[in-house]
Amino acid sequence: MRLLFIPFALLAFAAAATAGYEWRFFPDDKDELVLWKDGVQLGNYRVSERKYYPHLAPGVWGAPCPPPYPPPQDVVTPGKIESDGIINFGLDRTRVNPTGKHLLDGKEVSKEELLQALGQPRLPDDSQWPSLTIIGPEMARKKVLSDLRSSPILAPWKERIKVQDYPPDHWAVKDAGFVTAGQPTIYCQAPDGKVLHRQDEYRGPQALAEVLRKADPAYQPERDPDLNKSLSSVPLWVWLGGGILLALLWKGEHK
Amino acid sequence: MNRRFLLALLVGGVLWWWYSDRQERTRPAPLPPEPPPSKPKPPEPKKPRRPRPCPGPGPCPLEGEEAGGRPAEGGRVSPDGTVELICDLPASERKKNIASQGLGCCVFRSIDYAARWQRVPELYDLPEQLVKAGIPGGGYPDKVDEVMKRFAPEASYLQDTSGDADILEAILKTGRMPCVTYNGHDCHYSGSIAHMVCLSYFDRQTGWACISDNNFPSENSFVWMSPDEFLKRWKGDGGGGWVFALLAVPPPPPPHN
Repeated sequence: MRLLFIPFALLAFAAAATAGYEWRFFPDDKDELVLWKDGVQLGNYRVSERKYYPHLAPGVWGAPCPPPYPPPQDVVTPGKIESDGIINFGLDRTRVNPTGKHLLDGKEVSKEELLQALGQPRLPDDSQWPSLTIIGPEMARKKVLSDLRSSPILAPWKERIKVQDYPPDHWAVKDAGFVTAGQPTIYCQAPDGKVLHRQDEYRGPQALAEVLRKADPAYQPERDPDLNKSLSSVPLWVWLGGGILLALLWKGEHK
Repeated sequence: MNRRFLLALLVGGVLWWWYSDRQERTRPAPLPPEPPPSKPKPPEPKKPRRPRPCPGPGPCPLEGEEAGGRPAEGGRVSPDGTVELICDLPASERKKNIASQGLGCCVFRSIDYAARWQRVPELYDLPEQLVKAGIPGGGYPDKVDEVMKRFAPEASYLQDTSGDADILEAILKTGRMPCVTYNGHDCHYSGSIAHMVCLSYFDRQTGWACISDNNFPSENSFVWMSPDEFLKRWKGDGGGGWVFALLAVPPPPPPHN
């Protein structure tokens, strides 16, 4: 093992010296760095493995562990030092120009159009929309998603709810408090996360539309227009009572 | 007697119905929701408390200079405990940046993070997909267009190089994850870098911004700073204030009763 025979004499220069910690490089081996503090070798960092080996005693190395002081970033990350000293982690700087362009799917648009993409009409400002989350096996999710896409009764909700679907073991739902055992589990939540409805099986588009109608925060039943209100709102017992009353009055007059 | 009682009952019933129905009809219509208050002048950024120390006993390069909202390493909550990340992608979903043909893939790793946040599976492991396809790293807007066309032609996305902070806020307001250029000068980098990271929080009203750096994907390696400090780093050193965002729907909020 090469670590056991470190040619200390070849250590070339100090890369960083802060609070006594110092990373040193081998001129003939770019794969390894040495961490020094106060004249003591604390351990070695192997770049290809991204592992730090503590130096416990001369010739004795510990199991890999996090280094007590972070290695230089240009060594441990895929950065390239450019001619002006900037470490580049993956930008083509000659082609990232502050041109002031607004692009949607690769096409130049105005700022207003770009903001509209986060608003009407393509993707509304959906921060206040309810979330509909479908959690379950793929086939069960697909059925619901298919109905949401194509069922006419669910069509009014296409642009008014945020729909996501997940397998039960997905990080977004697994440990976030969601029930994931349904076939599928369907959640309808208010924007703040409050559960407005949950079901653990799919009951078809009709039932789902009913759920969405009831969960819609903008829905106010008392504001429903009823063009026949003058007649239809009179209860049956009033009609009957009125009829009997008239009959009694008429009978009384004829006596 | 019987007839009079019946008559009184009916008259009473009709009167009661008339009265209750009138009440219903004359009930005032619900008032329209109050308009949102006009946007107050953004408060001065709150000065964060001292940052958590950098990993290891060694000091951060900016130790002692963080006053005025300078970057500080931390977790999901801002150093003063007032705000939480908007885009909180778990560490298990955040892979480290890699290189493809010798060039870093920070742009494509950031897109990978956004894809995992908004569930666009075609873009998962995008840097690894580039390596397999023999496409070198190094990103710029036109190249992102090409990569999106090739790997996720159905995915909608936006890019902006205007450096306009309104766009960042609009993206985060809807829960989506912006990928932004970033030039370092924080507790991870002592000097200038050319880099793309994800912006997990940005709100000029609360006075906080936070980045998730694909070179430091561990649980508590977020970097919190004031919005002004972030904006300097977003636009600095040729990054130009470039932002990329997917338009797919973000994950639902945690459920509660």
